[in-house]
Amino acid sequence: MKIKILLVCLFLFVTVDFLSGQGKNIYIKQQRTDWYSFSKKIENEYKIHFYFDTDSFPNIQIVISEDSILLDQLLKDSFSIYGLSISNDNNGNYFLFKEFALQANLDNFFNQYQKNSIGLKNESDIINYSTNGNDYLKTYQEYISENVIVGKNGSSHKNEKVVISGHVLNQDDGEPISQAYLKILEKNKFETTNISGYYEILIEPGEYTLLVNSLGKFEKNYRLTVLSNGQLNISLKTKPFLIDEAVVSASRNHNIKSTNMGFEKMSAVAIKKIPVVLGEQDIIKVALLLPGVQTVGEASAGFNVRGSPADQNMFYINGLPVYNSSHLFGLFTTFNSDAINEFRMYKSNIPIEYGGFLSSIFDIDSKEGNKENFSARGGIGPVSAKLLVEGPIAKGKGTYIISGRSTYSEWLLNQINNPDIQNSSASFYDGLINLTYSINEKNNIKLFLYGSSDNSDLAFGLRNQYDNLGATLNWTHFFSKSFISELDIIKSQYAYTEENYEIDYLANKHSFELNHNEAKLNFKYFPSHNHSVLLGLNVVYYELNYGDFVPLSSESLIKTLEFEPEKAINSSIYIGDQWDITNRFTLEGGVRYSMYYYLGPKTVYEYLPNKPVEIANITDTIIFSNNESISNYNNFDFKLSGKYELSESFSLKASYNRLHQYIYMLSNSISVTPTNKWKLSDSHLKPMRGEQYTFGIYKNFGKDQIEASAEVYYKTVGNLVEYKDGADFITNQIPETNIIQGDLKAYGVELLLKKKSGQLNGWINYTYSRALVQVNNLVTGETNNLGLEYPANYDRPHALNLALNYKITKRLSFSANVVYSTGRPITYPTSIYYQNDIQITEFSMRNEYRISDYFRTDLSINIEGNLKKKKLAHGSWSISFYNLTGRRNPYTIQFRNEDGQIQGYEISILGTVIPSISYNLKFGNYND
Amino acid sequence: MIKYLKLLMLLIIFGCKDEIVLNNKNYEPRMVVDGSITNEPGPYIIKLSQTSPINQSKEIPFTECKITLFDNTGASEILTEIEPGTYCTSESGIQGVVGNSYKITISTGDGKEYITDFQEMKEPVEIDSIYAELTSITLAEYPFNLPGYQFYTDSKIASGSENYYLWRMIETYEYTAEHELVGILNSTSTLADYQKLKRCWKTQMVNYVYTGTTANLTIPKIIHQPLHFVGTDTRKLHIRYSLLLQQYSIDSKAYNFWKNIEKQFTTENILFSTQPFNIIGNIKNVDNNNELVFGYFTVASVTQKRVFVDRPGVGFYFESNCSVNYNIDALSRLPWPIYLINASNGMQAAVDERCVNCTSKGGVTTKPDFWVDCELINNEEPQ
Repeated sequence: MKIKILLVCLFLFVTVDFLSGQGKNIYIKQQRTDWYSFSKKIENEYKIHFYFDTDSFPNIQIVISEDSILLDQLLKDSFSIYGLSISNDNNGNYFLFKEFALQANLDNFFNQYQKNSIGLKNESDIINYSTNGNDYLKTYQEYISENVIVGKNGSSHKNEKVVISGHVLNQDDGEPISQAYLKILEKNKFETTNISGYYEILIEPGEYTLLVNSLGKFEKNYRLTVLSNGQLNISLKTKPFLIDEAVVSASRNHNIKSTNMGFEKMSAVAIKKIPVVLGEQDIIKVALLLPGVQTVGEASAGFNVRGSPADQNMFYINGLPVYNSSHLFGLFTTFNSDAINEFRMYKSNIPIEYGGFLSSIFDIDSKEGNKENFSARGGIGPVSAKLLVEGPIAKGKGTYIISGRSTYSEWLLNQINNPDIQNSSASFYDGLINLTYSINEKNNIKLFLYGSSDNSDLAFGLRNQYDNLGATLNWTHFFSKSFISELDIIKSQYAYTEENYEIDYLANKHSFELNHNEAKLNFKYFPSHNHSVLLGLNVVYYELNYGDFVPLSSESLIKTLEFEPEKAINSSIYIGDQWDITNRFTLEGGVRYSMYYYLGPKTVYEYLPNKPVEIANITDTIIFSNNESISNYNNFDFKLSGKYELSESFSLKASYNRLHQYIYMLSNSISVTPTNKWKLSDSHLKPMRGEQYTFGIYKNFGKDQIEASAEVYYKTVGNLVEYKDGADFITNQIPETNIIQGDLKAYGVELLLKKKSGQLNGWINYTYSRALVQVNNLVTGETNNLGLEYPANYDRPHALNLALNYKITKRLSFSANVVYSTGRPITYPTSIYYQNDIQITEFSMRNEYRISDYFRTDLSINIEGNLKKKKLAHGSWSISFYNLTGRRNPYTIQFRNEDGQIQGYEISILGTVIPSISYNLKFGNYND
Repeated sequence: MIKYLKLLMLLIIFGCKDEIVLNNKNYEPRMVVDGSITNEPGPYIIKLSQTSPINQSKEIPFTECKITLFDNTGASEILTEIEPGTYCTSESGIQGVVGNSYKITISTGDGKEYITDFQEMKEPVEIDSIYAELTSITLAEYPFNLPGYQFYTDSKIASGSENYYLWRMIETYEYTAEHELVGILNSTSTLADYQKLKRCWKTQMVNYVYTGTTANLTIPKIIHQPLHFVGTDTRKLHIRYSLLLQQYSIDSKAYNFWKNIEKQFTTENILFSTQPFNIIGNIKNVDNNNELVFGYFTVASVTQKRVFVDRPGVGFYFESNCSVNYNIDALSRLPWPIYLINASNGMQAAVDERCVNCTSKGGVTTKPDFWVDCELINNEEPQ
């Protein structure tokens, strides 16, 4: 683009059509020139006079790129980027000021800042010139700098600090941008916006350069003249994802400045870049490329963060917990990436408002509807089709977004030449609705509805269905600029039904339902520029219904087994503060006190003291009545983290985090099965307790273009839930007899190098980590693996991930992943013995050996439709090759008895290259 | 959960199975007990062996031990080692009686003592029927349906409500040598000798066990319980096939042991499978509780029933591994003796000895006593 315009300027004589203030056309043949010669020429040829200070006024370059342009527009375009202001008296007299404009004429002269519904705008306080983002300015965007005056002259004393405050909003839809960063260059001062996009900067009156940026947005650059307290609302334009690089981390510099550790933030833009399996974009597949995230194997539900089991992770979408996030037996996640704005993953130092999960929090923000226009987009891939519509409600006071995705995988199954597959069916769908409404400047309401469903009927007699359903209602109230309350009412339900009809007389059905009912009240308080306080309380009421185990048909002889439901109430109160002690040193801490009550009605068994929890050792049966407290746990959770900046681009951080978890998944399989029951802590099963120590070094290079970091962590989990050999949760009515609690120890180093922008961008990370489990109950003598420490199923000491994105042209880009990790541990057969002429294998110590290493390369090619500025719809193609080299990465080793000999096979799940193609279409242009 | 394993077997459409060489890892010999006492007349056999390395699997006899069998009436008997590692009660010794309890003690040559608890011999439950249904199954190895016979059993209603069963099977099948011998060159054997080697019966244990229980059923009755599947990818169904089902009534502990054995076989250790573990039996070292001793001394009552099936009228997927040498001119260069058959092209051709001798496949030429020939013998010779 830049080169083209330059060519136009250099080699063509462009006819410029000037319209003077009186509407008279002024024609001029003009090249690139300087201001002095330009102004003289205009003054000579037209009845126009320019007034400016010839001594101090810079002789800037004037470039005319269009056939016809208003002189006013040209002057504005040319000068505003240098912080110069222009006004005219409509008589051909132009006044040029270096510092500020004549206020009287400004409203008519310049485009006023776009109004938005949230802006707490006081007109008299604000002067804000907006650049309109036309081609000319874009071409020279590195020079763009708007001149802004905040406050009124004379209303403040020099050297007395004043407050600049306002909102940072998305220019495209007026939505607030949280975690946008603002930086006063001269003062090296750094602020971020809160969840409603609000910021405050405390500063002495004077002149400054203000940089504003956020993930996936164009940076803005202001020449700021601060006179007194005042407001400045800023809108940022979204970077079109094709044209620009995948921005992976949070905002520029964020890694250095924030106290976050073990933190990743990724936008929908970045998710779209990652090569996919069968055309489905998937946030977990992206997460697996980040350091410290492991999985047992491909196509398995669940993943492991920093050595923790899968049930120590939780997904929240707009604050709604989702207890089963897998579609199609774990091949995909239940979140349609089209409707996701961004996700944040916390591997350590978990925000104090999220208690209850020890390992990681996936905090997903769905998109909010477009405030300005109706818009729609859709896409089709080999497995699913999706559609999203969005638009304003009540003249822009509110917005809606409705998104849905559904499979048509049946045809795919029918293509496979295998009768069992052809006779099986599997399908899924998911959808969400997100409504926002701004009642007035002080009150916003959001309603979010989410659902996902999976159905399968497998040829060998297994039918199941599982669903997530949930809703959150959020009311945000602004008491003042610095005091915000948020009330959330959350209801989430996960349920499954499984029917097993392979053998008629044993045909059975069982089901499970988890209800999570929560009320949460958060207060966010910014008492001064260097504190941000969060105070909150929440109450979660859990209701777990273990459906009875019942006969499926009249032929079935299965005896009904009744399962008692479980109830618990978990109330927490928490307070946290982020305190910027100096410009360089920040402390963040929080305390959470949780009170957990396990409630009746329930039959509780007592066991012989110091004996294994087994049916044979039951001594007494106690029946608790409804809502009677059976057991109670009160715990303090802590977090403390500190950051010290050695320089602008170099910081050290350390943190400590302690958490308790009262709910866990009943699963003794090596990877997570599609349907699992959850279980609450009770009088026999103590809550799990996790502690993590983290230390990190963060360094940026090349104007923050390259980020490097090293984090070391050490983590322990006490009362880890493990299972006795051969445990069964379907027909066992007393789950504690299957469970044995142990300890987990995990530690590791994560090294990350990331280039965030440019034609070639991406990241590479290396992780060394261990996850070791020990189950040795010295009191009851119960052990796993003879009480010796063993590696967890997902313990993969060495992991290397490379994710690259190469932009060839504006419409064509390549992305590639390279993934390496140590093979997962397995329990290996060590010898053979015979029973009844059958060969039985003796196994080694648990997870004593490993399968061979994992290596995979993926490639995707993204082709955008034409980039015409005005068009009805924009299409894009994405072609992906998963496992390009077709390497047969073993998932496991299978041992089979063949003609009297044990034969071993390495089984790989996605052991061939999987190509896919998908097409996405949206109304409007690519970056709308 | 086992079901999901099968599902993932299907997902292997994208995946693959590669044979690997299993290495011996940390092999340490351990004692294995394999034996039972039933309500059928003795003698009863208990085998003692040692675990063997994984790529050299065989029963390594554990010799020179003293095994003593006790019953709860106070009687006891020392077993005799009739061959290395095989210990046997005497004809006139203890006989299994339903309702009595039995245990064994073992003392080894190096002075270690092992023991089991007393276990009660449960009431036998009669098999109502054993039958086969022609069906087809899908195997990961075959991208098509493999036809074959699926065997099922029904039991009679038991007198007690909680019954635990172990099903073992012995299969016998009739088969012929791949080719009929028409000439023999340079051999001391005659054609007549080979007429006797044309038709064989082979009897073997089915290398699977099946377990079941009525503990969670409204009526203590087993109906249409799937057992063994015999596919048309073997020679077993070529002429006539017989399955003898033995139904053992055992206690719940023995059931758990055998159920875990069954699971180890069916789960095949794939995705979603549970953590593999060593199946611990009922033999304990008296002095060292931590010593791993494998196997089970099973106390059971037994009933049995036999069924016959004939060659099904469906396509066969069995492939003979007999190579036929049609090049008669080359006969002189073949090692002698030379076995001649009538080839499909009308000429004579040479084959290996094993192709005209059915005993080479492990069968015997003597018809078993229980064998009942089918009235309508299928005359079609297998190809």
